[in-house]
Amino acid sequence: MKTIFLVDDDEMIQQMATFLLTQSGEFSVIPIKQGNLVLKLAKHNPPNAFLLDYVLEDMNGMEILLQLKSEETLKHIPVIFLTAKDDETHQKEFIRQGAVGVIPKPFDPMTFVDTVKQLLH
Amino acid sequence: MNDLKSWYRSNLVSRIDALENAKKNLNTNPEETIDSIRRIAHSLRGSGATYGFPEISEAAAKVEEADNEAIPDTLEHFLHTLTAIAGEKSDKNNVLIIEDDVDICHLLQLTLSSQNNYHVHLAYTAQEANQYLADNSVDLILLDMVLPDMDGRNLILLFRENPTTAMVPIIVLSARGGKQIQSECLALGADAYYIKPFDPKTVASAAKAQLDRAKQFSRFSQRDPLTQLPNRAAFREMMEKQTAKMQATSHPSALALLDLDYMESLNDQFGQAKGDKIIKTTAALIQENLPDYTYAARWKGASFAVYFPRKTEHQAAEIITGLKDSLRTVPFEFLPDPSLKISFSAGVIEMLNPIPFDELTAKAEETLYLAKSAGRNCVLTSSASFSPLKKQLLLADDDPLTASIIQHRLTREGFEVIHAQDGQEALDIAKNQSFSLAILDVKMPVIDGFQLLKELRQMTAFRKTPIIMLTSLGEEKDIVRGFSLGANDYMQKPFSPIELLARIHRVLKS
Repeated sequence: MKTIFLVDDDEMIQQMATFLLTQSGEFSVIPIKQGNLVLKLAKHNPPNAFLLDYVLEDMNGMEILLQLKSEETLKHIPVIFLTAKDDETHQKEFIRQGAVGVIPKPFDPMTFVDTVKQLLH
Repeated sequence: MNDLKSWYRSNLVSRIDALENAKKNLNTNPEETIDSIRRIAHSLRGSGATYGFPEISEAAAKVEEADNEAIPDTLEHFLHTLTAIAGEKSDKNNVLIIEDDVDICHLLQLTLSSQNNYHVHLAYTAQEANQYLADNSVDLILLDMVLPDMDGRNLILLFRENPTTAMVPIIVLSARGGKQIQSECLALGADAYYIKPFDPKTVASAAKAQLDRAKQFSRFSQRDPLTQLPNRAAFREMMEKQTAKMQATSHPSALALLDLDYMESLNDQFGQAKGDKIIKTTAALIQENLPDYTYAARWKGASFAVYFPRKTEHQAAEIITGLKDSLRTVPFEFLPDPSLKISFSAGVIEMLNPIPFDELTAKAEETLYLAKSAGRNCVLTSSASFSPLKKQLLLADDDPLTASIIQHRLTREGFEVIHAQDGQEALDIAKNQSFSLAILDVKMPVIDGFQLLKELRQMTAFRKTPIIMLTSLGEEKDIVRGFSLGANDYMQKPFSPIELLARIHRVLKS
């Protein structure tokens, strides 16, 4: 069972993604709404992957990504962006900074879990 | 999944409230409000399609990407989309199974429930079924032919007579395979018939097909079959929702009624079928050429109604005029002469305050009527039709009977009749107001018609105004006197209203 930090301040996205991931039986999900908590929680209890939204209230997903990539103990953990900012410029920048992939919002619930699995493989 | 979907839908309510609130603050605090509107839109854009509502994501994207000026229109559309979805009833279908064989009941229940989107309710007798139906609405009925307390055929009849179940699809399950019973059931109003032992999967897919068809049907009853535009009832519903929301906004909106010109003679000449094609072509043209967030419907026969939120009547009239001009360039290939020019007339009105629907449309019909009488192929706004076209008429007559006849008749003809009961009153009124026409009785106390005529002719405003004198029969010298003082015409009492009208039209034209 893999643990995923799901970082998104949108309750509706949280609910759907958590439901889909847990139902697959392969993931347990820790939902996080505040960007500034991600690093603290991860240091304490490193997950197997991060799902990051770009637009958060207190900070943006890129800032979190950079934080994670500069931590020796966390920088190898795969990060997937889950975001409406799926234009090419943003996508390239996410990948360049070390994300393994981008799932555009709104995502398709039928393929969501498979996409996550593929990206984490 | 379905639970999540209804959870999502119930969550939309708070988003709608927040957006409605923001809408009210748009004028007082635009920058901050637009920011928060965009934030909500961004969030729903990212989740709508995920939950199976791509239209939410689409409408939200339009809001998020709109210029500040376009926010109100896109927001209106967005709210409309959200409200429609939040208001939908649960998409689980309520299925009632009426069957006294417990095994079959449970087999059907299992098969249907495994498809997730059914609420299945069981009734073992007709009485139970009726009790359930008294308090619950159902989307589909599965009915056994033989019940302990009633013949299934009688039950079909009862269901079809009851308005709440009249349209509900009924699938009959029967141990008896006779063709005669089958056709009897179908004639009574059942929709499908299966013979036991049946394959539960077949029945389940029949159930789905019946439900899909029923949904389709209720959607189409809102549409006009010929033009595929919303029908009059749907238009009314939409307008009533709009006017209910109006108080919050101070923006005008406009309503236009369009009617194809000479449709009767086109029908006579080319036949009803080609006439219908003309209507259909026009409907398509309207739909293609109207701006976003405009609502068109088939009003009746060859007329259409169009609602323009946040447009003045002049803006709406401009759009309609554009439509009229493009219609005249459309080739009607199915007519013997495709270059025949088809035109319509339209009346456009504006509303600033919520007005009851019937009042609103009556006003629009009136304006349309004026556009028609102005020679057709004409778009008229209510302000243009009511001020310059409505002719004001000064009537000076001390005889209340004559006065009321004239007033009644001329008001019907579109005149605004100002009645003065004697010469003095007429003079006072004339000092403050100009008229397109005056009708003066000769015999009045104090200031008689002749003196009034003389004084009016000395006033700049009345120098050229047509004046008709009302004289009594046999007083020929009065006629001569009237003309010499500057009257344009005369009428002898008692007169026929038709003759009066004819004379009025003549003096107004010259």
